[in-house]
Amino acid sequence: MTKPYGVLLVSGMMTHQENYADFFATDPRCKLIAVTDEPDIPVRRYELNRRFAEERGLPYIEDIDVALSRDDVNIVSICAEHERRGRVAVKCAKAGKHLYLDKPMTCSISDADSVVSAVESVGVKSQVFSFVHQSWAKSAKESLKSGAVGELIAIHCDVMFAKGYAGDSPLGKPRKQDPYPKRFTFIDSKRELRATGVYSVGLIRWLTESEIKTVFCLTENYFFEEHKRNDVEDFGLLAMTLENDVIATVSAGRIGYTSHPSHGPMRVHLVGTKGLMTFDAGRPRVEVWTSEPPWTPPKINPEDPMGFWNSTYKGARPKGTWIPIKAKNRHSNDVGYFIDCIENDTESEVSAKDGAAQVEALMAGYISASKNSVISLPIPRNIKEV
Amino acid sequence: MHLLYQTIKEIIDTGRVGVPVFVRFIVQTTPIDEQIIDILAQTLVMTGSWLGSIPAKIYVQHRENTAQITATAEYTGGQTAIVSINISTEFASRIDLMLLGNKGALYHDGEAMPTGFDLGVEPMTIPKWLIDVIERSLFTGEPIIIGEVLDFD
Repeated sequence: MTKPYGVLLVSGMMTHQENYADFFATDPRCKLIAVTDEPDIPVRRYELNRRFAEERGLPYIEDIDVALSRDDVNIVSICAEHERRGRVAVKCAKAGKHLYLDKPMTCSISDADSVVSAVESVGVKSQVFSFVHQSWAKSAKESLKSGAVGELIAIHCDVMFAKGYAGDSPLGKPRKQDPYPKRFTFIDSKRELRATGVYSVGLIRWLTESEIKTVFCLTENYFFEEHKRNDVEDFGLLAMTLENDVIATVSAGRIGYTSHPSHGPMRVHLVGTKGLMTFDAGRPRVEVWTSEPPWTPPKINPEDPMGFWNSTYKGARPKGTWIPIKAKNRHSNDVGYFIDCIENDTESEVSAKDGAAQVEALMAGYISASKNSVISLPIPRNIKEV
Repeated sequence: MHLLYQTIKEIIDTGRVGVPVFVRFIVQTTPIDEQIIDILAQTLVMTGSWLGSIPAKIYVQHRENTAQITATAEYTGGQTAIVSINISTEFASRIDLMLLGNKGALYHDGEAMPTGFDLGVEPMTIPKWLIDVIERSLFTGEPIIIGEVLDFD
């Protein structure tokens, strides 16, 4: 394997590939080779992929098998829709390519197991996108290692995204949760327990270096009529115990553009025998107050009413009150770390195996919310739905 | 005296954040005479006051020989809360609070808490059933649906 490492992009516009492609493009050790996907994808996905390739001056290879047969492809960044990404990841691993995986890694525990099995049998490196290389997460890890909070007793993590026009979901009743949801891809909503909760579950496992032992979960519809109409939660809570007996809680969701001065609350609280310490993605920051008109949310794009993707809101005015202190490689260091793992032949701290553990905890959450009970992990693999 | 409870209640009453739907409440207090379960119950009642509801489902987590207890609660109208009480002998008291409404949010950063700060709330009546439910969840290790185990008549 020689530099620059060739990177193949599976799926393009209106996926997180919009971000990941930039991460790889800015790493001098990498070179983008092409955009590809499965040959039988819907027309809309095909058009979005082609546009993405054209905008970046990359070829679009319509058959992923053809793309994977190229010797100049070393790494595959996979952002296929949730329902397809398990089988795509297995195919890429079996082709001997290193995997950079969007989160959550799969929609089912069985798919997650298949990805782990393929990665381990072929011996490729893998990494699931996470927040663990952000400075606030690293500070929390350092505080744990230094003993600043004493022995860890509990960890509480909130990650929410302040996007979408909130306030039109009918309220007043607890949500009824399907224990085994099957559909995960919608234009106007995401299953937010998974989509945002996965960050907290990943952070908690990484910070504590402990597996999740039990899961209790509540899912709700508070903010968006779109989520309610699709029978998809816009908010979720997890209360977990870890194998080292640490107590962990998570709140996760999409809470509306105007609910936060920046991207949304993103914090981890460590409770130790000495006391409580909090680490916040919004710190350190500079606050700016001016005579400019106050920020207002962008006009709704019907192609992306919830504001999931950068490409659909190009030119939208960003919020300008909280300005994060710049950090070197702030957004690309997750990919940079993955390239380090490949070069040094070391396992990522958030590998496919960790991605599978995240998926298992989240899917256990749905079962818990449905049955109103605490679910023990691992979930037995002989259940058809997993 | 800083009156956090009243301040939050008055903001809610203006309707600026819409209908309150979720509270994340983390309390760190220096050792006091009250039992940690009583502090948790009082905080759940206070949270319910902000949410305009009473708990319908509670799951409580506590590790033996630690001064920490956490409750995850769903209220009768589907509102939710996570309340965590921690007693510290080394760090100062603080309250971290996030309250989400369906059209806005309130944030209280405990690190900015002045000396002598307290909740500024008159001691609330803690219903006996709430203590019973907390203890039952701790004993069984399961969430307790209050309507299934208690007779309110």
